[in-house]
Amino acid sequence: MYQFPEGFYTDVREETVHATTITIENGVLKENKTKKEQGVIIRLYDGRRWYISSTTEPDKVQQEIDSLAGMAVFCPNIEDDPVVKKYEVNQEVQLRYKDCDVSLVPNARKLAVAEQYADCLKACEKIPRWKVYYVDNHTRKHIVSSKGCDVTFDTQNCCVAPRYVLMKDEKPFYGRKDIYRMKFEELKGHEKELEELIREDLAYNENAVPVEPGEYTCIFSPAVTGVFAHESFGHKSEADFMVGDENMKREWAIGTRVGAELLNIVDTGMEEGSGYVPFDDEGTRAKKTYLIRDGILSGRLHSAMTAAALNEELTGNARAVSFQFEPIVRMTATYVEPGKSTKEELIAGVEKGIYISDYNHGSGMSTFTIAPNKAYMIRDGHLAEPVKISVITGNVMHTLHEIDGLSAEFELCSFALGGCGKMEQFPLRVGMGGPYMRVNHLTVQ
Amino acid sequence: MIKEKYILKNREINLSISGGEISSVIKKDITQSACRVYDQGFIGVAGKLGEADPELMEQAVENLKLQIPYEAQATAGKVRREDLAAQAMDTDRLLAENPDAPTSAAENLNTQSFTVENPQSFLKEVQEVLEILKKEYPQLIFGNKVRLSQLSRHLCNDAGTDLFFSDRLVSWELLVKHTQSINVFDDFLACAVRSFNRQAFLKEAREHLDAFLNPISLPDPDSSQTPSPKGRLLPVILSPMALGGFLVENLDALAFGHGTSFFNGKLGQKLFDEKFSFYVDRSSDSLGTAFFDAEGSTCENDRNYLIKDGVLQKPFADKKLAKEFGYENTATADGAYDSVPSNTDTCFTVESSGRTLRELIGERDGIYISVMSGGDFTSEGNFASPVQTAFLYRGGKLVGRLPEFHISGNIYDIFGANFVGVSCDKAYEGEFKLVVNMKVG
Repeated sequence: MYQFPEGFYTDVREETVHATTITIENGVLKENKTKKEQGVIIRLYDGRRWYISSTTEPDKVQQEIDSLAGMAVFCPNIEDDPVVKKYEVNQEVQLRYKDCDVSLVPNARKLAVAEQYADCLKACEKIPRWKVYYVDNHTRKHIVSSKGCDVTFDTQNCCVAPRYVLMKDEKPFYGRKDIYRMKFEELKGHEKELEELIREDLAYNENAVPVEPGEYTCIFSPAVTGVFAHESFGHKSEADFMVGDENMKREWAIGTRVGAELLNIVDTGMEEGSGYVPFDDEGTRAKKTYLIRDGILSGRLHSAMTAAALNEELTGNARAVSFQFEPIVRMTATYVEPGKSTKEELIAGVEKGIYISDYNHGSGMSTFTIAPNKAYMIRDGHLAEPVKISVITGNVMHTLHEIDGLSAEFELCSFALGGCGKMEQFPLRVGMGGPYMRVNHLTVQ
Repeated sequence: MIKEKYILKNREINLSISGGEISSVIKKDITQSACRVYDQGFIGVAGKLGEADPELMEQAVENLKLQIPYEAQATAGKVRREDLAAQAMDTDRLLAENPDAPTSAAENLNTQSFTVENPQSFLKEVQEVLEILKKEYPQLIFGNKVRLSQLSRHLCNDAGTDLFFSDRLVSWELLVKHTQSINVFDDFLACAVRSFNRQAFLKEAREHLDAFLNPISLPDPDSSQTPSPKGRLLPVILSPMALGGFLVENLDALAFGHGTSFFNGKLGQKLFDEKFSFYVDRSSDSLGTAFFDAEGSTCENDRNYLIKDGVLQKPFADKKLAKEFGYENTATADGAYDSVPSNTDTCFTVESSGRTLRELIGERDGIYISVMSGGDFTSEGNFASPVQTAFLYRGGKLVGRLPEFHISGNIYDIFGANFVGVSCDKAYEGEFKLVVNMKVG
C-alpha cells in the first residue's frame, strides 16, 4: 500500500467521519448539517523524535512519508528501539456498527426525532429559552504501520441533547439532558425522562438558596463520582506526565496506598459509550486497566512511548481528537467500581451534608474542583432544601482517603456534547461514572 | 440567490515538548472550505476539507431544501484585506536588517523570521531556548507545546464582498514542574506574539521562574505594607477575560431577547465602575482574530462597546439575532466552517485603563495569578475559585510563589467598586493584565 522507508518506524492513520448536527432553537430550525470528512495523519519515528504530518489530501500520503523521512535521521536498528518493540501488530477488521450505520439513516428521520424532544420543551410554559441538539457521528479508522499493524474499526454515537434555561427572580438556571445511544432506533421514547427532569429542575430553581460556605460531607451522584474519578485521579494516571521524572516515579510507584480500601478506579475502552475505542490511535487493542485496586495504586495509562519509558505494558490509551493531532495518553471510560450500600443508606449516615446531583464542570490538579449544577442539603439523614454552590474543592491525595461509602447502584455516563481537554486537544469523547459515593471533609463555597 | 465562499486555512509547525526536549515535530496544512447560498429567507451550506469546488456549491444549493431560515441579508459590497502575517514577516526582516531601528521597535531586535515553509530555523530556535532554560533551571521540567501558525480567513460572495485576513503567531505554552513535586504540573509559562523575541521571552521567563523557586507566604491585607481601603481584599492580576465568562454568558442577545439574562431590564443603566468598558475586539490587538466575523460583518474601528464607562450599552448579536430582536449587529457570528454562522462568545476584552501594570498596583503588593482552574459563578453572580499557582507582585516584578488559596467576589463588585483597571502594557504573557481587588483566603 505504502512504501515505508527503511530505518524508521512509520504509521498512517486514515479517518473517515460522517456526522450530522441538527439544532432547533425555540422552535426554529437553526442548523441541519450532514458532512463527510476525510483526513490522514502520518507519523515517522527515528528513535529520537517523531516527525508528523496531517493532511486533507489522501493522495499525498506517500509524498508526506518521504518528506518526513528527509527530516529524520536514519536509524539502522529501529526495530530494536524500545518504543517500536512495544507496538502490537494487530491485523483485524472490527466494524461493529456496519449494520446500523447512522450515516445511512435519512436526514428527515433524524429531524423528526429532534422535533419530538423539542415538543416536550415547547409544551412547558416556564421555559423561556431552549435548544435541542441532535448529533451523530460514525467514524471509521484504518491504521497501518511499517511493523505490520493493519486494523480497521469504527465507532458510533447518536444523541439528542435538550438544553434549556429557567428563570427565577432574573437569575437563570441552565438545565440539560443527554440521551446518548449507539443505535439510532434507541433514541426514541425518552420523553417522560425529560419531562420528569424539567419538573425536578423547576422545583430546584424555585427553592434553591445560597449555600452556607464551610466543610461538609458530600454524597456524589454517579455522574459526579465519574467526573471526580476522571479529574482527581484519571489525569494523574496518564503516564506522559511521568516520563523523565524520577520523583514522580518514586511517589507514584505501583503498590502505593493512595486511597480508602473500598476504592477501585478503572479505565477501559472496551465498554460501549462515549469512551468506547476498540483500538487506540496507535493500533493497540483496548484493555481494562485498574488504576486503583482496594485503595492501592495498581496501574496507569500508556502510549507505546510512555510504556517503553516506564517499562510497563500497553493499555490502549494513545488517542487523538482527530487526524489533525498526534495521539497522546488519554482516558477512555473511567469509573469507580460500585460498593454494597444503597443511596439511601449513604444519605442516612450524614447528619449535615450536601448531595451533589449534577455538575457543570470539574478540574483536577493537586486540588480538584467540581462546580455543581444542582445540589441539596442533607439534614439528619434526609435530603433537604436545594442549595446553590460555586465550587467544591479538596486536596486529591487527602480526599481519596476520605471516601467511606459506595452504593451498589452504578451508572456509566456518556456525553453528547463537549468532552475532555488536554493540552491543545479538545474535545475528546470519554465516558465516566460510578456509584453514589460519600466523601468527607470537602470545602464548599 | 447569492452565492458565497468561506475558506479557513491553517498552516502550522507544532512542536511537542517532553522533559525539555522536542519530542515531535508536526506539520499541518489544513484547508476548510464552505459554500453558502442565500435565497428567499433561507440558507444552504455545504463544507469540505480541502479547496472548494463547483460540486460543493451545487451541494449548498441542494441544501436549501433543508429550509433553514436565514432572514438577514448576505454582506454586500464590502472589500478589505488585512495580511498581518505578511506584515509580521516584513517587520522581522526590516528590523533584522536595521540595527538602528527606532527605540519603540527595540524589543523586536534580534527577532527571528520564521515561516512554516522552513521549519528548521524555528526548530533550532526552540531547541536553543529550551537548552538555556534547562541549563539555568535544572530543578524544573518543561513540557507541552510551542507553535508557529499561519492562519487565514477569506469570505467572498457575488454581492461584491471580498474580505481577507491572515495572521502569524508564535505561541509558547510550557507546563512547568518541579522535580520534587508530585503534581502533574505546577505552573504555566506562556507567551503569544506575532514576532518572537528570544531576549524578551527569556527575561520574562527568568523573572517568572525565579519567583516560582522562591516560596513565600500570602501577604496580609491588613498589614501596613499592603494597606487596603476595601477590607480584606488584595489586588489580583489576571488575564483580561479570566473573570469575563459570566458577562459574556449574560450579554448574549439570545439571552436578552428571551428574557433569560442576569442583566434583563438593565440596558442603559450604570452597573459597573466608570473605568470599566467591555467590547467586541476585532482589532489587531487581538492575536489571530479576523476583523470580520463569519457573516462578513465588521465593527467601526474594529471595536464595538457592550459596556462603556460602566453603562450597559447593548448585548452582542449576529445578523439574525439583531434582526429578530432589534439589536445592533456586533460582528460576533462564528461557528464551525461548515455551519450556519451563529452568535458566538469569542473576541471580547476589557478596555485598557491607560496605566501600566505597575501604576495600577502602585505601592501595594499584588497577587499575580498564573494557574486558576475549576472556579465558577453562581446564578447570583457570586464567583469563587481555588488558585493553584500565584506569585507576589512587588515593586514592578514577580518576587515569590504563594501557597494555594481561594479568591471570591460578586460580579457587581469585581467590575464595580473593586475594579482597578486593565494595564496598557503587555506586562506578562504577551497580554494586557486585569487588576481587581478580591477577597483572598
